[in-house]
Amino acid sequence: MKNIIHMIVTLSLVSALAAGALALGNRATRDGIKKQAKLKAARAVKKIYPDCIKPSEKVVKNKSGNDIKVFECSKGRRCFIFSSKDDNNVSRPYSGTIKMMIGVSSNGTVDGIQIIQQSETPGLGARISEESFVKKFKGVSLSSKLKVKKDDPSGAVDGISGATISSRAVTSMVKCALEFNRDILSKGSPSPRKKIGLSKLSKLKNSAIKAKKLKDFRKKYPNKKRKYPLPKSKKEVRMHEGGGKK
Amino acid sequence: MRAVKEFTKGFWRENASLVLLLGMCPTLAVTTSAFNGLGMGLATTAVLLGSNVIISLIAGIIPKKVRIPSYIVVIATLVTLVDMFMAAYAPDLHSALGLFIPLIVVNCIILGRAEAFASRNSVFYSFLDALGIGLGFAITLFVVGAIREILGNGTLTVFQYKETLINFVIYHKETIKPITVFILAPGAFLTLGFLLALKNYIDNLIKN
Repeated sequence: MKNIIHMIVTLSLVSALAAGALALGNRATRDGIKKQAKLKAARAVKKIYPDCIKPSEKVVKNKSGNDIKVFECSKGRRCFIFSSKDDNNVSRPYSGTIKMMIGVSSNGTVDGIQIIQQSETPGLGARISEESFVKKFKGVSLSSKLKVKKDDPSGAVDGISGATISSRAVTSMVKCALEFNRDILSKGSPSPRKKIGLSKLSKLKNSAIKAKKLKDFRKKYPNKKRKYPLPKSKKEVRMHEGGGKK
Repeated sequence: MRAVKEFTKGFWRENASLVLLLGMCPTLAVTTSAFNGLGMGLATTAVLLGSNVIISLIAGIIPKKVRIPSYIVVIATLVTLVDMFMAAYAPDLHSALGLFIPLIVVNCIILGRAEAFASRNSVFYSFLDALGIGLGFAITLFVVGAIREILGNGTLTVFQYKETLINFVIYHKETIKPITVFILAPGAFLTLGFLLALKNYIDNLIKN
């Protein structure tokens, strides 16, 4: 009986001491760790946009309801922290969570990504944070085929050999991040609105050209059933336009 | 005299990975490059030093039946503290070794040395034992990592942190095709097997 009490007391004492040490350690390092995380994010932004010194920060919810931290830089460029758990369409990493900083320019192309956090296999999947892999995403956009070459030979991304799962995860993260950028971030901000205006304008212009063509067509062939001629290549349309002005 | 013996036994006679066959998980899993092996080995040495010293101090007051749980609590606390302080005050080192640190808790070498040596010997000898075993382990991991990296990738990475990368290109991948399997899991077993055979061969040569 005495033995059991002795055991219980010592084990509890050891555990209590350990818990106390951990609590003290946590209190001592909490602010430091937070600061380091902030510094890390700021450093990643600076790596992507060296001239972006004081970006304005905001938090935006994505489709899945997760908070995404966005750093707005000048000229419509923005960086945001995207993790593999932020979107359900992300292909799962090999282990743990991958967090990356992605910089997107105003026209929706990637200016660079930086892996902030990952716990993939050292020497294999962990190589996703190396410069040689990260730079492959420079200049891609939603119009490029964001697939790993191993899954789809025509894909835009050449994965790391022996680490297809990790490469696939990052590739799908970039894709989801770009979709988030297009669907949520680009709505309501000034530069893309200008773009919508432009596209509307060109639509109006196109319909005007179509109407004019139809008129010409009817004049030329009054008996044809076809409503309007098949759209010609852009070059021809432009030539036609130029001719009309003269 | 005994001090020298306790220190040097870890390098060859009682080498953790080649003779005791302890710590197989890190030996096989993280040695994909020479530097990864070295990093894991040094981090293990640091924790082993702390745990051996603390356990040799408290061994007298802990009842025999609950010694293993007590040791595990001590080791886990130590590893977590090291991890937290590194993250806060040495983020560079932490991002280089960060992944290996939680793995150390489950490393059998730590518990093995605590049970087999530190709980039965004085603080001084436990310290020397930890240093010797830890450094021997680090060197072995470095060798395993170097062999795997040279055969599997054609390079030898001595140091790597962010942009700073000190590595030697042993041969070019274009001219000689590397044996990729050595970087993958089977290569770890092959390398360890051949190293064990080599060590026993040398031991036999010395004996005769």
